Amino acid sequence: MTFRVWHVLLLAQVREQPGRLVVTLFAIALGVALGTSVYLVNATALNEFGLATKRLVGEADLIVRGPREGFSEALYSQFARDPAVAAASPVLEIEAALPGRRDTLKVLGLDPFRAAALQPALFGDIAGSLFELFQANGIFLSSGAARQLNLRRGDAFPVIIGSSAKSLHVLGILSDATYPQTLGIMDIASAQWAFDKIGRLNRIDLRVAAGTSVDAYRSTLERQLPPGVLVIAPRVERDRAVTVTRAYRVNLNMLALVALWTGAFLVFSTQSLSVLRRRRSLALLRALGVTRGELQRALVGEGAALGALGSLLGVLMGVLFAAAILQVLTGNLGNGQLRTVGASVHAPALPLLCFFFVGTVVASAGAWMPARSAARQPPARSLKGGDGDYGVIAKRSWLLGVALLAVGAVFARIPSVAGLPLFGYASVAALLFGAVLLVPVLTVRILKVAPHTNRVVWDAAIAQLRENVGLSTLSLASIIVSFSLMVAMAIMVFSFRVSFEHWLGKLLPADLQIREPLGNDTAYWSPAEQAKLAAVPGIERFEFRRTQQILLDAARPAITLIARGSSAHQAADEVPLVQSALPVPGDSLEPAWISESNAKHCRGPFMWTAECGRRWC
Amino acid sequence: MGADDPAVLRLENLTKRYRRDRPPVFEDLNLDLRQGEYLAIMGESGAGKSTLLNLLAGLDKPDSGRVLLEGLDLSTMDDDATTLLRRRAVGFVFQAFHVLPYLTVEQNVALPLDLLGVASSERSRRTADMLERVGMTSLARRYARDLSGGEVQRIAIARALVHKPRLLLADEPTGNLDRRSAAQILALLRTQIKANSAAGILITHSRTAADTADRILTLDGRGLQSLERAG
Repeated sequence: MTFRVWHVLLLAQVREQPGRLVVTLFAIALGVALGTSVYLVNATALNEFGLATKRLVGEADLIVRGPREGFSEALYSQFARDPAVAAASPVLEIEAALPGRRDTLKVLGLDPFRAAALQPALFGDIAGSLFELFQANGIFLSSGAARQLNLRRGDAFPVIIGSSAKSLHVLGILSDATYPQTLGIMDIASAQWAFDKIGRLNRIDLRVAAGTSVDAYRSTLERQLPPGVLVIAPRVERDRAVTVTRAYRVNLNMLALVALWTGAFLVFSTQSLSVLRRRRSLALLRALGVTRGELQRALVGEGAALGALGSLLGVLMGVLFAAAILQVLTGNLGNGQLRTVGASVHAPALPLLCFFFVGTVVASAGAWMPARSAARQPPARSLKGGDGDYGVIAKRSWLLGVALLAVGAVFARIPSVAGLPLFGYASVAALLFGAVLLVPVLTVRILKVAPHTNRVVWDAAIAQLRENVGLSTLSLASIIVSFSLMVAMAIMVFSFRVSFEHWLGKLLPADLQIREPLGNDTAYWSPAEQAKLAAVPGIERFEFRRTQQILLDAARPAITLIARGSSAHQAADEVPLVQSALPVPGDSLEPAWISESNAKHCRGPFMWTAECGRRWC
Repeated sequence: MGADDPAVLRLENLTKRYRRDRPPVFEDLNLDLRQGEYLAIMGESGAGKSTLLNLLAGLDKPDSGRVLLEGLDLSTMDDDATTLLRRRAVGFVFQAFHVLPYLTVEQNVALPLDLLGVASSERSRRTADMLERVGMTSLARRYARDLSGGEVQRIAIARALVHKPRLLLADEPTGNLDRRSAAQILALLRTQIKANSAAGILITHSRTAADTADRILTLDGRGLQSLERAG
């Protein structure tokens, strides 16, 4: 029976308001598509990243990782002699600067005989031409790197060492299956020579001997390793990439959720308006013998049908969007961390079904309240027309509205949970719904005091609004929700930009900045080159800085250390602080200033480096 | 009153008021309507005729008193039970006709049969038959929104009769029709009530229309009063 009523109602919607239906369907589809594509791109990128890391880590039980400038290769000799270690593979990991490019090329310097045991997947393509690897300045490129740099076997290309270029020769191209991302593989000695890192390593992969507990051995190493060198489980190494992008991915998902909820509100608004518009027809159905439950189920079914159709469309659009993003933007949604070269979208059925289900449920939920309200209307009264006593609804809703605004204000003050501003999101939702619930009472009040002007059109319009205050309220609420979300997005982006510009102005108070590619390990300016740059006419003041990625905690992303200023006092004066500065310590400690986001993770004297062996505070 | 009681409808001390600080619309109405009986109720505008029909159909609740339809006390039934009883036993022609504009004429007429779950072939046959009786066969595929007031009124009447209800309630059913069409429709209403052993109440301002009923009552401040039929 419900199906028959549902069919009649849906037929009515399709025949009466095709344009409105299309817009609603599109809104739901857009929300679902955004969620689906963000999920698929992130999942594909993470999967590719995980696969790539797995290939790099290979069969290792533990990874010993030092600072980017490396540690002495004498450490490797210790492991090689250690009976608890079955295999050890020394690695020099370099982000090489390339002339004229902003990005870098990851180069792994490996001992092929050692690495073959621990990273067999990487050596599948090289095995036949292993001895070629020993050629000076010879490099094997992954197919992604070869595509990106437009290189073929036998080509030469320059990398920047210091401020001059050195040429590397492409010995061969690895297949996509060997390594999907951009990478170059060199013999470790050749890499040390080419990149001016003789005697330096920054990673050693270990496989512990049979019968040795990996955890126990790791604990032992943690106590024995020199300062600045960490021992890490491969899983932690893989998870770090996920951690780096977590905040970004969460915010993208929240954005997709906002789009989905906007779609749901549109369903709510469309259904409410549609119910109000059809109140006489619905009352007629009730008078003809349709029960409250049947009518409510039919109206919710109407929302569910819209949701299902919109979600189906959204999932399809989402897969297409994701494929396009992976193809055109190489899976980089703007965060610069996850790049997948040539990855094709992997769309597992379960998550797609989940997005379809969520879209349908959210749309049904949007239809539920108007359906309930329609089913409760006394048919005799609705048959006469008008919105009925909307003031009663207004009286009930304003208290809840005020309560939600108060809850939103309280939630806004609660700190993040596990690094995520969950209460912040809840606060936004509470403030928005609170504002929407205040709309009825405000509308009723405003319409009550609207003046009688003796101008026919104005007075007739006001009378029409008074008579249909429900319609007026819903229209107003829709405008509030869509406009507030739009304004919120604009303010968020603008605030971020202003804050960033403010921060940048304080941190980099220069008219012009010259820099080597971000995150590279090979390009730098020598003191003589710095002096040359400083002597360029027209420069009033110059300041040279050095940036370096440092790993304080194996489970957390590396942080950027910026060495700046001619003295600690100068740096202390120039850095914008949110807390009053401690006095600059004496010679035993190097002063450091940390960003707010790292404040929780860096307490007290926090690190030593193997390079300088000094404590920082 | 038992299930074998021939009274289709009984009112006992029925009272309705819209506001507590105002006099009731009507008070202590009593009425028996038996199988095959066709009753006309007349009265001035605002006397409460439409309100009375809403109470009889279970679309509204009285302040006191009882409405018994087919022996069932509407005041003791929940909304679903009343609605299901209305679906099965009541045909209603509203003063403002009320058809679904986005359905075709035949879909509108077939609605009560749809709701009762009548099989498709039987539904089509009965709908076609009823459309023929009200002279709307040629317009069966047209949308209701494209029809004139008189044509819409015929649809409303056909819809009220198509499921052969035990009680037919008609609120000014011929107000929009010309004299000849009105006479045909009134005759049809009477014929159907008699043929189905149903009972019918016609609310009208027209004495001519009222005279087609078996008996005539007036509704005013004193309640329901009998009125002699003309001729």
